Amino acid sequence: MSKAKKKSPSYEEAFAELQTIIEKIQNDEIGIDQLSENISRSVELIKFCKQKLRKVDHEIESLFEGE
Amino acid sequence: MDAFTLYDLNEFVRRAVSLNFPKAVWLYGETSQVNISGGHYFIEFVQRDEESDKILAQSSAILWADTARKLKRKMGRKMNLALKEGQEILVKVYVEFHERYGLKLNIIDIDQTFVEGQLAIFRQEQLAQLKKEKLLGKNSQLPLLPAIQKIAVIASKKSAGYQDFDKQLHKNPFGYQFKCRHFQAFVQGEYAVETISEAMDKIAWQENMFDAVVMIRGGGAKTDLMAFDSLELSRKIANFPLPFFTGIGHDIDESLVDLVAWKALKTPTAAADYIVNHNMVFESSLNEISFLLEREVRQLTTVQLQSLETFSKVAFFQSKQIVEKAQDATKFLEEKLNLATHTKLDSAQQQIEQFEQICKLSDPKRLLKKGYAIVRKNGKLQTQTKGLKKGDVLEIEFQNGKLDTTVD
Repeated sequence: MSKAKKKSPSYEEAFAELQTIIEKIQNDEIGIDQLSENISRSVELIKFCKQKLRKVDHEIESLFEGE
Repeated sequence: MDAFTLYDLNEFVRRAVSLNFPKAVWLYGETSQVNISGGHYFIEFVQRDEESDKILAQSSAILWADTARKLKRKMGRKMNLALKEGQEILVKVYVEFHERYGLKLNIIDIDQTFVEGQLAIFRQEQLAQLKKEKLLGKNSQLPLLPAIQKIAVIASKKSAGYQDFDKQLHKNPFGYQFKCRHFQAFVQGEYAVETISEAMDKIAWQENMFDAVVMIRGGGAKTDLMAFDSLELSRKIANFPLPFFTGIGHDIDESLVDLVAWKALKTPTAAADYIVNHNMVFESSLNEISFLLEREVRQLTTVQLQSLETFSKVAFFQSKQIVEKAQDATKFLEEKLNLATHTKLDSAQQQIEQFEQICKLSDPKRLLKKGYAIVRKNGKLQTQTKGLKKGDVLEIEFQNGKLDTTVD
């Protein structure tokens, strides 16, 4: 049985990847042709991170409310 | 020859005696023999030499049954002790001489204080013996459980004393429960020592079943306490493996058993009270401990709760801070990405536009519009007059078309 989906990254992994992409853009390491693809990936990562943070924030609130 | 008949002689003696002893007299003597028949006491009195113990004098005495009964009522069992063989006593006697029966001392009274004095001396001797054998504090050295619950009771079951003890114990105001086991014994009379001793043996055989022993004798009539001055019994109590309490109703004194007991109480009721009180003291100390424990625990838990409360708050705020910081970092990256992307795109865009401009400016059609023309010879660009000769055909391109011309 092959893996259908790649294991989802941790918040730290996503954040690190995002930083790398931005650095590459800034250093002109990404050509125009690859730009679209990389931006797309970055947006995906940002969305992921934001979602993760919202989830944790919500969990913390409910944990402390519950006591 | 002048001779008496026996009767005359005895009669003479009788009269002489009667004359000289019209009233009863008090007499010191030692009982060397005592025989009881039909309730009458037939006693042989002697007086011994203090040093050699040889008998110096001897006389028969009689205590008639009815007098004996009166004395018994007055003295109780002390009378029996007084009239034991080998006992020194002080008696009130009528000195009687009977022709047939000879000299007889008719006992009408026994001096109680003398008897008591003798008893006291005897008791002192026994006390000294107990001291010598180091038995006086022995039983009281036994440890007493903080709460007494299982009690062996030596008593005469039907006696008021036992009933009093039982009631006082079981109907105590604190609701303490006790498990009492009764061991029957006579607490007075000649079988007292024996039965008490037997009861003690039975108890000792199952000593693990009991926390303490209580010996009860009810008060009431001033009956004898002889048994409780028994050396044998006192020894037994002193050496007993369980704490031994006495609740003997005394008038004044303490008996020997009281002196060797773990604790002597004045009455059966007092004995019950003592035990109940003992348990109450224990309960009080438990209550106190319980109270202190509760207080300490409360304090501890309060302190802990406060710590937890503080920790909880800190944890909450720290967590929030971390999340906010991460959110800020993500936002920053997002903006950075935005900026970087737009910068790059803008930059590329600018370049393209520049090239576009250059291209526009470089377009030949622009020059043609300005009035310039493009000259070609044989399809090739001709930029100067050099190389041209007469008759050459030149193509001139104008903004609106081309035409051919010949060099003149």
